[in-house]
Amino acid sequence: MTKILIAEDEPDIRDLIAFTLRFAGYEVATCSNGEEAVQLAKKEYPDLILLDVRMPRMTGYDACKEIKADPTLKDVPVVFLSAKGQEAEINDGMEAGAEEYLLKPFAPDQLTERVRSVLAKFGK
Amino acid sequence: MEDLHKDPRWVRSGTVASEHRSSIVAPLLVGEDVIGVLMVFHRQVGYFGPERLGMVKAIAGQVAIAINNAHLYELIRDQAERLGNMLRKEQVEASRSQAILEAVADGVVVTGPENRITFLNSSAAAILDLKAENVIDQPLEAFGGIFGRAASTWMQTISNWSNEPDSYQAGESYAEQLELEDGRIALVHLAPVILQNDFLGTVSIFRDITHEVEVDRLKSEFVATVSHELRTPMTSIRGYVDILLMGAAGALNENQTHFLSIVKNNTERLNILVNDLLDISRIEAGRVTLAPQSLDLRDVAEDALADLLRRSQEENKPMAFALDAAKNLPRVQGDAERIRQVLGNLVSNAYHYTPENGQITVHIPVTDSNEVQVDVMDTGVAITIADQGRIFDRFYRGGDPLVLATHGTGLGLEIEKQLVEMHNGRIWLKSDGVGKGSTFSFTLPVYKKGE
Repeated sequence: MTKILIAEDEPDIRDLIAFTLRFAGYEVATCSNGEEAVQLAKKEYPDLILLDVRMPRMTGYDACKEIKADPTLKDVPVVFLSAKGQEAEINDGMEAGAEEYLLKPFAPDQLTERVRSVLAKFGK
Repeated sequence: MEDLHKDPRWVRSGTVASEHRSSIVAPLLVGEDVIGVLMVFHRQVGYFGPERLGMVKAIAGQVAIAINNAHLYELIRDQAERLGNMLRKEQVEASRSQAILEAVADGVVVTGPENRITFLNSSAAAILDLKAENVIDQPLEAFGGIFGRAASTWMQTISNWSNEPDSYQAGESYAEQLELEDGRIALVHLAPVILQNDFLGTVSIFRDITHEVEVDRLKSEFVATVSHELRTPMTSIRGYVDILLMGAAGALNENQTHFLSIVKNNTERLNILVNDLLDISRIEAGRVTLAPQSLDLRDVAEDALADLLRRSQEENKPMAFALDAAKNLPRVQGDAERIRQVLGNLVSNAYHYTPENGQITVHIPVTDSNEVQVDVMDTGVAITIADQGRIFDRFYRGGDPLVLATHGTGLGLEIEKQLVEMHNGRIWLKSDGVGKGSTFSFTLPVYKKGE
């Protein structure tokens, strides 16, 4: 089963994403900051990682850099979640090695659509 | 006159006593003017001889000179008094003007014909952090530094006017926001003092608007933060409503579906409003930076119309769409995302405000100038002449029922205008009256390599 790691500090949004992706048939692991995301990624080896940009302890941007620096994780696609108006953060995220970004607020079918297309691009 | 009783030249009157029999009458002459007469009488007939006549003539001459001198003196005294009064009045006037200039809260700097500073009031001294005694009679250029970079056009304007007073057009004025050396912001208004084509100098009025600018920035920042913070709850609301509508959390009955659709539509509306507010506040705060690149407007127009066609099919609102673009269009200079936003919004407006079976055309005519023009034409409700002047104003949506029945924020066109102007383009509309549709046009500069 395809496994997706979700890092999002807002519990309501984290549950929403998890529910949506489970409903679409994916296995889901969740955490609430960048630091946990890096640890969980090393344990779970997900097929895709969804990272919120603004998170406490470690931002999605820094988490992405750490993940991309790990040889066992560097090929796992990362998708950023960010709000409009944070173009600078989005640019930083893309430079940190993210595959794509998704603007908040997003519709659930938009989310599954994007996840599906990124996974397909990576042959998963 | 030997005998007054017999001399025909003597006219008798009551003033001269009748016992006077002989007389000498000598005119008092000043140049050729007679200013009076000297008369000498005697009771004897034939009393005066030639030597007395000569004496009286000499006395008359002296008296005439004395009277004339007295007149002149009076004249000079009057003149002196009048001049003295004028001078005093002028001094009063000057000190009153000086007091007014000193008392105003705005800074006033006056330069003379050679661009030397002739006056600086205490507000100007405070705003510009200068001491009047160090500045008076100094050339303006010596203080260029404190006015910051934007000041060069201000100084240039002053020297243009002083070099060529003819170049000044009546009513022409100049205003500029200057960032001073110490970071404060001053607004300067400049006007020349020209008297009958003689350039006498300039008057510059300074106002410290640091506080206003800061308040404005805080306001924009606040709006930006609030709209940003609204996104998190909106993401939740929208997402959970979508999940419910998808039936992912169990089947819904008809009413539940209907009500949830209403929640969804209103969330969408709120989302557009928040996005527009965020855009406006970011543009105002100068936080929107363009990433200009070479763009093919035909591609942008094709995408915008394709989106709209999809929407009209989804919403079951049939509409004819056409792209009428000249071949070999030059590429334009623009930020791809922002130009998509502008054109997308214009065609979306056209779609909203045109009843079904209408026609929307994007027309991009061939050009031989330095800009490309895009016309978005519809056959919709049109915009009344009265509304046309205000249509680009914030929150203004006119009064047409179809417009008001459509959700909108009244912010879109203001954003478009700002974005087009940031690209050095222009935006305007033409509408010939109710039922004849509207045409919104904008221009963008042609792409030039290396810019």
